[in-house]
Amino acid sequence: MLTLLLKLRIRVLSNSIRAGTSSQLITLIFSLLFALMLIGTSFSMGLGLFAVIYKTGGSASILTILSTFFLTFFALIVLSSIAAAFYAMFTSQDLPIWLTAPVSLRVIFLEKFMVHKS
Amino acid sequence: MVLAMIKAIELTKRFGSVTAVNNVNLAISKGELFGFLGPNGAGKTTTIKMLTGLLKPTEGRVEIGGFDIAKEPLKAKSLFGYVPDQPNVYDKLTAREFLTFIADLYRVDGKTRERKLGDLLQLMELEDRGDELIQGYSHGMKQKVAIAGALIHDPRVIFLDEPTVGLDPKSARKIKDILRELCNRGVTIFMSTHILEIAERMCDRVGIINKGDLVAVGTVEELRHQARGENSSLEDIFLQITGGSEHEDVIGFLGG
Repeated sequence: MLTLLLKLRIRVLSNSIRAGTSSQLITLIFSLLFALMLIGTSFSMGLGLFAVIYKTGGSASILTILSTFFLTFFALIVLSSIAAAFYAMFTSQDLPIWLTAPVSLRVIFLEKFMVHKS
Repeated sequence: MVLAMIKAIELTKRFGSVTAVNNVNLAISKGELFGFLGPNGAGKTTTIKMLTGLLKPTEGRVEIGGFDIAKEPLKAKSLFGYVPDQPNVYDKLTAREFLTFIADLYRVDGKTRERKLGDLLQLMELEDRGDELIQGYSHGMKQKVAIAGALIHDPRVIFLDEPTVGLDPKSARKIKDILRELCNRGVTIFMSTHILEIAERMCDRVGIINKGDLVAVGTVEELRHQARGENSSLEDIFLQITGGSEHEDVIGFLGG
């Protein structure tokens, strides 16, 4: 089923690009930029954390603040993605196709998550 | 005993204080073409949505081919195809790609899929434009793609919500012929329509829903008998049952 979902997404995206519909391409570029930004931020935060531990010998309070910040940052990203996928799941026009097909709600959610991410 | 392919048992849907569908009981047999009629806002689409599992009933239950749609949704859903009132197809896919996707969703094997795909595109007169994106199609063509999508997995039951809306007379006739032929082959069809002529000429039985209540069920002959008008058309019966005497108000309003 995952292959089917991936195939559908790739088809929709490639057809959109071929048809000259820029919105899908722009969304993809922004998603990639966001992913790069996320990796960069994580890397610099990790580096900063390492520097704090190395220089101060590991102050508990700074570590706690940083780890809390780090966890909150990622939790917010994950939660907002899930919320957006749920939103897409309940508002998309293609929902009757999915809800009347013999597929589980888990698969439908996954498809909407992928739509949101692509 | 003949198995009812579609069974609605005490089906009720309430939206807050509004009862959209009230205690509907229906049993539709194998190979039957059932026409579902009613004025705007009577509860036709809500009933179809509950029958197809798109809406959860407030009370009651639905069985498709003997499977409870709430308890065994995957088994029940694998038996039917659904054509909604608006053809919600992927605009960024071609008709061929869309039908391939639907076939994969219903796990139709590759060989059967290719054969059915060619047949359906030909049947719907879309073979020349099957490789074009759906976004360039007219409403009628999208409707044909949606109907083809509902047929690709050889369903035993088909639900259609206003299937001929937006179709030209030739295409509408073709769809009617296809539906009749499917019934002859044992497929059960549940179709809502506003066009009473279609219901009168095509359907084995019709049900009339008004303000959420299923007020009449039977063959057109039975309904004529109930309405005590042996020469009445289905339109006369429909207006009599649903209280369609507003034309007198209209004439009054126009000063006639």
